[in-house]
Amino acid sequence: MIRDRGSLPYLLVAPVLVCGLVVHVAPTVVGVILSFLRIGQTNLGHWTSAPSAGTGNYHRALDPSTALGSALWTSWWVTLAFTAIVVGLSWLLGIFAAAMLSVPMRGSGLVRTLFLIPLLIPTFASTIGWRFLFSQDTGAVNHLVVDNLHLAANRPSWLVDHAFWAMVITAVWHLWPLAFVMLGGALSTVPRSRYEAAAQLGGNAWSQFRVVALPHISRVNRVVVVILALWTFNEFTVPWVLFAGAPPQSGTLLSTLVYREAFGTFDIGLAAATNVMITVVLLVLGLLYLRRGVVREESA
Amino acid sequence: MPLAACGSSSSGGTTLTYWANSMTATPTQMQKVLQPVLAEFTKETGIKVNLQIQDWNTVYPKIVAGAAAGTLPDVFDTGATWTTALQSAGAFTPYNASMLKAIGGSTKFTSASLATGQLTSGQQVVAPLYSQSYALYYNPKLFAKAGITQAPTTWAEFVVDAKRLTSNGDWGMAWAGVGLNNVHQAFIQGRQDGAELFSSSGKPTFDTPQERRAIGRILDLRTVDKVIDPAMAEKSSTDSLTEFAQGHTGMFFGQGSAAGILLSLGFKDFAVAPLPVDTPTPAGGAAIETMSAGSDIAVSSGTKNRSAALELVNFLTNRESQITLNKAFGTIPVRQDLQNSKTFAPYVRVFAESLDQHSEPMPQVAGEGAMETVFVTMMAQLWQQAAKGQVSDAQIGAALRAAQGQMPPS
Repeated sequence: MIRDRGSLPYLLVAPVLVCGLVVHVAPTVVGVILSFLRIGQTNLGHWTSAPSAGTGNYHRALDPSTALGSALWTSWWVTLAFTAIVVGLSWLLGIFAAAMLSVPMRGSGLVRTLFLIPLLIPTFASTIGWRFLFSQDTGAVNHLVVDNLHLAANRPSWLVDHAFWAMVITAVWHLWPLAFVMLGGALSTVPRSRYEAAAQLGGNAWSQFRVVALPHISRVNRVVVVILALWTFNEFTVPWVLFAGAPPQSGTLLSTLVYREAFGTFDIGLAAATNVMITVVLLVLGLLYLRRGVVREESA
Repeated sequence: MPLAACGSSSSGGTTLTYWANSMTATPTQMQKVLQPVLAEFTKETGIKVNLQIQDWNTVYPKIVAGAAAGTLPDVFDTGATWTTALQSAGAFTPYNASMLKAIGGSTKFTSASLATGQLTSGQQVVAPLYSQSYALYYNPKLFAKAGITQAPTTWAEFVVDAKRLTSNGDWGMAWAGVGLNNVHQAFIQGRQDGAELFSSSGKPTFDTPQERRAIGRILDLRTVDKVIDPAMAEKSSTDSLTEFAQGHTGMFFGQGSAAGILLSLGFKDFAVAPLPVDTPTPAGGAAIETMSAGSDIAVSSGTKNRSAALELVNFLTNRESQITLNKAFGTIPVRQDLQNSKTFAPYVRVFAESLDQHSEPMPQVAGEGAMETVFVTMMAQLWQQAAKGQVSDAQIGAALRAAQGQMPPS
């Protein structure tokens, strides 16, 4: 009896395991292999017989004295800053909106729907819209800032001079509804009774939120932040579409850099090496952050 | 041309997949132009064509990836400048003698257009489809307003004229910061100053004093001469046309297909002149006005319908199709017997003459495709630097070296 039960679970899980291996693990392994090969447009079709590059691709990618290497390092910092700012702003907007809407009131359904609109529109479509909005001479943003509000005398060039911030604004516009939805769901799990208890002890809305809600959702919050950070770190559509495929340095994220390496110049080995390094970094950072949460909880 | 009875072709009943690069303002218009021609083809041969319109700015990597994965269509348009690069990627079935015969023989085509489909060894790998070249588009009304009586022929005259046109909200020159037009001009102006982008063994040699001088001249239009609207730095190629079509910009450099697009936008106030040349050309410089541009048509390496594919190529290069298509696009026909035909608009003569007498092919090396890609980004970033002030010779050199550093190892 025990032996029968022993093999059945494995058999039941086997299809999922196989699919998971094929969909996730196999391409990753292939990617790692590619990073050690010399592949260009001439041997792309028969890459299995491509010559080995040893660690050459990694050296080329990481050498700060070459154009490639310094572009990669710059892009690394740009992407880190981009991720931190976008996730931070999206989280703040999301938690604020979720907290405000956690109290049932008239029209909250409509407001909630309006907030979700950016999530419903495909990213590339709305980013094309943002490209028009940010246009220096005819865009609505400059029309508002310069012509209506008179905040600046010269029309700023968002897509050239302030490319990083144009990217941040567009990305936050897309991301914060997701933060809002996830954090709203988390906030709804806080028992009413705790708020009432805090109110009886003399707490105002802000301290109620800080002392009751935040600690309660901290576990979910940790996961939400990791998800948002990983998505934002790998964001490709916004920088690619916003700058029509030619981002300035301050707008070049790692994702567009790797895309250019892989499908612009077909330097597949280099792109694979860059990807491997990005994956390792994200894996380590993500695991550390999640584990810190577990450790903190266990010691609490 | 004898009309064949319906379905009498030996390949009747097959379906070909054909990737056509959009030559019009929108893919919908391209569809409208091509569908009747392809319908006529189907009527004559019984071969159906599954048409897919591609965008010039994104089709090159699609072709390379398709060649590697074996997913290329039977027939596809390719850029005249991409021949050597795509041949090295294994995208084509090269034309042997019998294939050439099947499309009417090489004497059917102009030698300039035929050359765009050849490797340096002389092997014909793709057939010509439309020829293109660059020329100067100008607005005669704005010229008259500024008191300019004829189109500039030298770069110096061009700059003077552009400055005279820049006043009262009008701009002298439309030049978009992003797009292939920058790559082509970096080549053309570079060749005028004597630059060679690749060594004789095919290795990139981007950073030369000659290439720096050429790009410096281009960027100075914005920073020193101030004849380009600053807003153009963030715009892409087709925006040059729409800017010009607003009627407030005097000139732009464009290919023949731009005329077709201007007319489709309802704009008629344009004239065409040969591209100004940097005269006197420095030592080693070539007084070219254009690179040998246009579209070639390829039979893909993995096609299973070779004879049907050749029939399509033959059809698209016959007299009726060439007249219909080239008139619709504003391009130059590739057939020798249509070269002096009066059925085409007069401005086509300007393009044809530039192509015939003052053109050079872009470097015929395997790395040419990658060069175009890195140059798009390099020029876009140089235009962004130009927005802040004059770009120095050293900065241009650094950008060229950075672009070269991004080329895959050869």
